[in-house]
Amino acid sequence: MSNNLIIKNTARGLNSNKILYLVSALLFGFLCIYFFKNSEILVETADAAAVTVPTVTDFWFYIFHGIVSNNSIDMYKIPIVWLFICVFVLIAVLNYPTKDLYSSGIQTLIRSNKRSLWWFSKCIWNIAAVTLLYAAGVAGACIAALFFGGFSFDVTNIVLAQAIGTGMSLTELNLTVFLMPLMTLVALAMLQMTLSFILKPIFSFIIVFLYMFLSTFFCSPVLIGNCAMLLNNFELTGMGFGTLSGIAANTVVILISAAVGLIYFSNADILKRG
Amino acid sequence: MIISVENLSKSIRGTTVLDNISMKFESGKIYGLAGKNGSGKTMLMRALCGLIRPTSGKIIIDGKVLGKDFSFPPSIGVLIENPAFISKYTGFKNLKMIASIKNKATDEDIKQVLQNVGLDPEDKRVYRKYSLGMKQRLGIACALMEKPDIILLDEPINAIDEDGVGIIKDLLKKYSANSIIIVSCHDKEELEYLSDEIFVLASGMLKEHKTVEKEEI
Repeated sequence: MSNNLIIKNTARGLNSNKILYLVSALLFGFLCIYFFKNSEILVETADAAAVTVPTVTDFWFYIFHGIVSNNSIDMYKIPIVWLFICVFVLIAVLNYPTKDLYSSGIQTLIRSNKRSLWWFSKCIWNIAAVTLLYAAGVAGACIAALFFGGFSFDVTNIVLAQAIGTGMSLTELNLTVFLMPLMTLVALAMLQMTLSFILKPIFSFIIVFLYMFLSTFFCSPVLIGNCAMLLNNFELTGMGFGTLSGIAANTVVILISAAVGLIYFSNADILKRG
Repeated sequence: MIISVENLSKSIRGTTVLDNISMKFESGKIYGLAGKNGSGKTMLMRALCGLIRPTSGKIIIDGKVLGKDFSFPPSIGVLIENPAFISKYTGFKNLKMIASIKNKATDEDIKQVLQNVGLDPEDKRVYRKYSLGMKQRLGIACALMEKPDIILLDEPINAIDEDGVGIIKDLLKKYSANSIIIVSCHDKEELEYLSDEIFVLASGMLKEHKTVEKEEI
């Protein structure tokens, strides 16, 4: 029954807000178009006949480049696009778990026999929902790249004047560019979900937002928002900290969030939320 | 099946909502919970189904301690306060989705229980279009559909019309043969008609326990 509960509960959650995946694809697609229209895109290459158009990887680097966090305050510029996307993902997964618990989900919970199973199913849902939103975003970027004739996962010098990922293979570079922001978004969403059961969802969002925002000022693996800002990835840009440190920091946040949530939820009184 | 509530107390934010309650429930009987608003009826039901943890005391179901040996009773159907379902699903689809967790109730069982509570299983209206009475009937159907060993119904006849009340009362009598049914209700007459035994609560304490004398027909 445990597998059944996890599968059904996750599927029901993913099914509850299908429109958000479309919104995600459109949002990322729109940002790519905005980037294309507002950048000097047609960079002439050594071969004067050829021009470079942004690739999917370029688009992704643009969206998640963030800011070099250790810069002085007079160099500070809010990474609006990065912040906007992170906020969108966090808001998209903010309300469902608690709303479900205090409404129809209570019937599922009672039939789960174990509170831990229900909590585990919500963790799976959370990871799956963020991944699907992210995948929809990648799809949006792919469609935009196709539209502009740059569908590939190569990297050009459009986003950064200097080459990124020097010394990395293209596969390693793409894994870093695409997986690090995803992992961080999953970690932030897990933290937010755990807090939303202890506090109210709106407070959990505010806390996670402030934690994320702090990452734009200070560069440290403790502030995991840095792991989703590609400019702070040492292997990519020579600044910030390494991918492995980022993976470790994200993993710690995911595991701690899941464990704290499990302990809290196992002993919590489930009352009508007023 | 036997449920023993032993010296159950519960405090929430410094307020005692259940105070040293002891009671016993056995299969084959309908138990009524009576008391004014705030007397602790709903809180006791929440404790019985595992949604709240006792501050002290325990609930033992067939020798196993609720909250220790299992988080929730293994076979239970619940309607607590207002029923809540997915608004864009029909009644049948809502029950089917919930039933899929345990896979105990078949489509036929669900259709049958919907009919039993006076709802049309083929009704294409989604839940948000239901009247209050229909929502309440669906909540009861949900609690009954898996023929559980324990059935907890908090104010089940709220918002239900006179005919519906008759249907629900007959249905509960039918289900009581194999289950423990615990019902809370403000209407003293209805509760006495339904119940074999009544527990009266006041300020979180058990004030009275009486057996209802049934007139032979």
